[in-house]
Amino acid sequence: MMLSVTGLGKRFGPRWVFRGIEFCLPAGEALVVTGANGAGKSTLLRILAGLEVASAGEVVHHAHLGYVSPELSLYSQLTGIEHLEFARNLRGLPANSDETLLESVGLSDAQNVRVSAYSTGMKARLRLALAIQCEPGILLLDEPGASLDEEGRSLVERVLDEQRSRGVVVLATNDPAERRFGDCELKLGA
Amino acid sequence: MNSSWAREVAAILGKELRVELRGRVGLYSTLVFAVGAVTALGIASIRGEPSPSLAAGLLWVALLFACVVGLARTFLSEEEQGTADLLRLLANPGPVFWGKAVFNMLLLIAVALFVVPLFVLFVKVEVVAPFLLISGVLCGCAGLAAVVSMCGALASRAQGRGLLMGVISLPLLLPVLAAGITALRGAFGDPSAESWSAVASLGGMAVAFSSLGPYLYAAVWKQ
Repeated sequence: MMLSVTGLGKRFGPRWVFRGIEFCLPAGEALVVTGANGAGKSTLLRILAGLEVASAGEVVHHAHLGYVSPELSLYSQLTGIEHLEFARNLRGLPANSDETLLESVGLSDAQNVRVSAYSTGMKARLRLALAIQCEPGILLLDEPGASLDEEGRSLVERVLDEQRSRGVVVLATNDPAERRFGDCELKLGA
Repeated sequence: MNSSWAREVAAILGKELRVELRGRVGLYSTLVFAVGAVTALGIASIRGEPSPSLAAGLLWVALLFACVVGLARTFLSEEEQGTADLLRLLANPGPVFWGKAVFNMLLLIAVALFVVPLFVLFVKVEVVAPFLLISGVLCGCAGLAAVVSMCGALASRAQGRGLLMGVISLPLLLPVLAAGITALRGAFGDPSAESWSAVASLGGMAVAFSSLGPYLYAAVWKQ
C-alpha cells in the first residue's frame, strides 16, 4: 500500500468535522474525496500532506508527497523559475529540469515574471509544477481545476494520467468532470 | 553539518536575500528606525558628550528597537502571507531557522555598518578602541539577531504573534544588552569595563540561542 489511513478524525473545538476515515490506496489508484462545503475535504488533504495534525487516527505512507491547493500561497517577489529553483534546492534534486517543467505546465513565457503579476490560473499551474517536480508517489490535489481554463484542465488530466503510472492520487473535488478520474470515492459528511 | 542541511540553509538564505533585495521592507523599516533614533540621540547630546556607559547604552537602544521592528517579520510574515505551508512542504524546520537567522544577522550587521559611524559622528563620542567596537557590535548584532529569530520562530504560529514576540523576547534580550553595553563601554573609553569578556559572552549567547532555536522551531513547526 502506498497510502494507508486508519481511524482518521479531525475536530475543531468540540465539533468533529469528520472521524473514522479509513482507506488504503495501492499504486495506480485514484481516490476522489467529495462532500459539501465545510465537510472537511481540504482539511483531510492538509492532514495527508502533513500540514495539519489529526485529532485521531494515523496516516502511513513511504513516498514523496506532492500537494496542490488554491490556498497554497506563493512568494509574490519571486518568479516562476525561481520558485522551482528554490524548491529544487530544498529537495536536493538535480538541476536543468526547471525550464522543461515550466514548459510542460504552459508557463515558459512567464518563467521570468514575478508571481505578483501572475493570474490566478497561472498560479494554479505553478503550484502544479511545484507538486510534480519531485515525481511524487502520492499526489494530493484540492480542487485542481478551479480557476483553470480548458487548456489548464487538460493539463490536470494529463498529470493525473501520468501520476497513476507512478503512484496514487487523492483528489478533493465536487466537479463531475474531475470525479470521473477516481477509481473509488470517499464522501465526507454523508 | 551535513551537505543536505547546508544546501537547505543556503536555499532559505538565498530566498530571503532575493525577496529582501526586491522588497527592501526589512532593510528600510530597520534602517529608518535606527537612523531616526540616532538622529534624536544626536540632537539630545548637542550640549555635551555622553559618558562611555551612557553612549554604549544609547547605541544599543537604537540597534535593539530597529532589530525588534525589522527582524521578527522574517518568521512572522511567512504565516501572515500564507507562504508557511509551502515552506513546510519543502523544507525541514532546522535549516529554515538557520537560513532565516543568518539572514537576520546579515541584515542587522548591514544596518549597524551604517548606524554606528552615524552614531559616533552625531553623538560625538570618542572611540578609543576601534577593534573592540567592531567586535562588540558584530557579536552583539549576532546575539540580538539570534534571540529575535528564536522568539520570532516560537511566536510565528501563535495568535497575537506580534505581542507574544515582544513579551518573550524582552527577558532574553536583557543579558545580550547588558553584555553589549559592557563591551562598548571599553570601546568608548571606560577602562574599568571588562569588555573583551563581554564580547566573548555575546558570541557565546549568539551560539547558544542559534543552537536552541531549531529545536524550539521544530516543536511549533506543524502544530
